[in-house]
Formats: sequence, C-alpha cells, structure tokens
Amino acid sequence: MQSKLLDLHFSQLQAEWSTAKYNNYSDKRKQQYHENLERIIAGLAKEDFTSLDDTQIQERYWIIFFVFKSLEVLNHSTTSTIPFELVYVLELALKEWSPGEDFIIVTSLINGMNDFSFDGSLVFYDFLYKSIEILFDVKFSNRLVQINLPQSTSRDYLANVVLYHELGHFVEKKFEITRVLYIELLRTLQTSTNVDQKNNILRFFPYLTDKSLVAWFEANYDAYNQLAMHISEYFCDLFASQYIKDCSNFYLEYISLNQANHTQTHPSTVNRIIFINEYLDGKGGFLLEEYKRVTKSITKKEIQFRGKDFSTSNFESLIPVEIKEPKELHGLFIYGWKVWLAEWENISQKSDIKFKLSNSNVYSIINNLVEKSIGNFIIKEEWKAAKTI
Amino acid sequence: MLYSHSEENEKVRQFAIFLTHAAKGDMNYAKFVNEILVETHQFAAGEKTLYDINRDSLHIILLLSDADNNFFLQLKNNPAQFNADTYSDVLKIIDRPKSQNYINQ
Repeated sequence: MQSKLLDLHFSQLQAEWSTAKYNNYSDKRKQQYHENLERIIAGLAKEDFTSLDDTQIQERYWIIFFVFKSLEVLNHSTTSTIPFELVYVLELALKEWSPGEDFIIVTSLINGMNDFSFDGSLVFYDFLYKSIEILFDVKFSNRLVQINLPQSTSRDYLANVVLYHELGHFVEKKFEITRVLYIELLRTLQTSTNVDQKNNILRFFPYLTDKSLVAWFEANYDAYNQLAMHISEYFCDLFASQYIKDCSNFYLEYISLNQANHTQTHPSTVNRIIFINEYLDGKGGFLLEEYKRVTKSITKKEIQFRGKDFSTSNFESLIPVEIKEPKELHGLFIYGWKVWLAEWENISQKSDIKFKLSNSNVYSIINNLVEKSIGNFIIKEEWKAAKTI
Repeated sequence: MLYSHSEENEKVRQFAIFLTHAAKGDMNYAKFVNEILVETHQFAAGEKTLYDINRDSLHIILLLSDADNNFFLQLKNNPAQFNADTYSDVLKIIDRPKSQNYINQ
C-alpha cells in the first residue's frame, strides 16, 4: 500500500519534471541546483520502492516533497519571470545576515493582491539535505530562500518594501530569534520584579496581563501560536526598518486598515507602527532593548540602519539615480516613497512637463526609475567584475 | 488543507527517521544524530545555552531536554558509547505524550 502511494507521488514528480527539465535560468547557481534535482530524480528512478520499509518510504516522501517544492519555485524563477532587480537588492541584505552561506532568493508569484509571505521549506531542513547526500551522493552548495509575492505587483517597488519584512522571517527562523525571545519575555513576566519592564512588554502584548495565559504559553510553545507569531512580526518590522525605515508602515497601515486590535497571527497595526517609530526615534523601552540584545547575542549583529541616505532630485527630473555603493540601493525604496508622497508638481516643474501628471504616470515613473537605477548599478558591477577576470 | 505541516514538527519527524536508521546500526545516520545528542547533553548540563546551541537543531534540543532532562544529563558526552539502545530510548522519549503534544499542536 505505502509503496504504491510512493509510486504515485514519484509519478507526479516525473510528470512535473517532464516540462520543468527544460527551464532556463539567468543564474548559474540555479542551473547547478536544477542539475542536482535531476540527479535525485535519476536516483529515485533506479530504486525498487516495494523493497523499502516504512522509515525508508517516509524518507523518500520528504525527498520527493523537497524536489517538488524546489521545482515549484524554480518554475517561477526562470529568465522571463523573475523580478531580477528586486531580488538582487534583497540578496544584498540577505548576505549581510548569512555571509558564510550561499542562499538564492527565489520568488513565487501568487494570485492574491496582498499575499506576501516567506516559506522556509527549502532552507531549514538539515536532515533532508543529509538524507539526500547519504542516499544519492548529491550535495547542495546553495539553498533556496522562497519569498512569495503578488504577481500583479511583482515590479512595484513601492509595495515591495514589505519584502524586507518577509526577509526578516528568514533571519528570525534561521537564528531561532523568536524562540529565544519567547522564552526570555515569558521568563521576565514570570520572575522579574521590575514593573517598568513588565509594563513595557504588556504594552505590546496586552493579552499577557492574563497570568493563566502566560503559564499556558510557557508550557505550550509552538511557532504558530499567537504569542510566537506576534513576537516574530515585531522582529520582522524591526528588521525591515533597518533598510527602509518607516516605508513599510505606509503600506501596512493602508492594507491592514490601521487595525487597532490584534489578530491570531498579527499584533495590532497601531502597536506595530508605534514599535517601529519608537525605534526610529531612538525612544524604545525594555522590549525593544530585548529584541536588540537577543538578536546581537545570537547573530553578533546590531539592529541598526543598514541603508545609506542620499540627497537627489533625479526622479523628479526623470532620470535614474547613480548608485555609488550597494547600501544606497536600499535608499532607492525610501526615495521612491518620498517622491510618491510629495506633491507631484515637483516632477512637472523639474522635468518641464506641461500637462498634469496622473497617478498612473507617477506610478510608472517611480517604478521604472527605481528599476533602472538598480539595473544600471548591476551592469556597472558586472563590468567591474569582468575587467578583473 | 489535506495535512497540516509546521517546519518544527517536520524537523522532529525527520530526526525520528535518522534515529530509526541509527538504531538499526547505520553509522551514516548515527553520526548526525550523535551531534544532537551530545549538544542536548551539554544544554541539559548547562555547558551550552539558548544562545550558542546549533540553530537548526534548537527545537529538537529543547524538545528533548524538556521531555527528559535527567536522561540527557546522564548521557555520556562521548558518542562512541552510544548504541542501539541509546537511539531507541531517544525514540521512546519523542513518542511520550508530552512530546507528542509538543509535536502535534
């Protein structure tokens, strides 16, 4: 019975592979990854599933799941579909937090307007990579970090500031920051005699005034329980603000209708915005300091502004910004929002446009110029690299 | 959704696969299991903390030490002394109701 189901699972994979095997990628690392998948499929094809015991069948189940999932995201990351410039900038941020490892950001384009999310299925399973190595002698030199974003706004550099938040989920999961904060915050509430510290925690997690709930959370950790999810959301907001300051607040406030009450999955938007604004204004309390302390203790990195401000009016003059160093790339998102929120007459005056600019004109101008600014920087970097060969 | 997945539960299930292979004497799997068992012992003994244990194994280490701290305190720090019984005992710890609740929430 079990081996027949494994046969079915593998047949589904082979059907998917029959088209996916022709994928072309702009990134050589993805091509290597694709070749590894091919070797795993060839290895599975040689096996006699009827001779496997339950444990061995379960092991193959995970491996087939892994190959399927990899193909699912690689199919969205071929030369023609990937929002290349956006991914380039996110990978720069990613490298800061995992300098010794090679991760590839892959995007999965979703049919939902606000469906931004992070999926760690292809990153965090060390056992799975070890199984693949033991069974098929295939070693992956890089792993795929999957970020899901709406297809309709995949090249919208205003909306996509929230992807820095999604990248934060990768970082907090990779380093288990949420798990440690979960333990430390509950410990403070249970044992600390410092009322200010407790009150500062309760300000952002108001339901923890219920002591029986504190005890329940302490005994029942799960990554998907309310407290763990809220802790991770605050972390990701903080993570994002290191690169794009308060820009994701603008979009968040709008799409969540500035929600005053928390939900099972997210803290109240009002509290999230207060938390970030206090950090940006240098006014945070105990909770913020705990986030900083725990993050630094685990990652050896400070929570701090990681972009670089620049002063320019290039977009108003309809020309891209000449980016001088990678840190400035993050500043393009901040600048894009600044132009969007300012009076659009600035653009008309600077660029001598005689007609009144519509919102869709300005939307196209900003998105095209952000993309062009990143694209020009990438080309210059590639030229530099080519000269040194 | 046909079946609910969480990354942490899945890690534990994959760890159980490795333990089963190790209990049958497959050293390819045992060497990875041993790393986690040694680290769980170090955590239980206070030699390692939340901040310096291996991040990918953190959930499993906390689960194991929470389920039976004494077992891991008494476990030898030397993997050469682990045997099929050691791996079977750890599998039983994972199968206990407390751990199951932990896994299936």
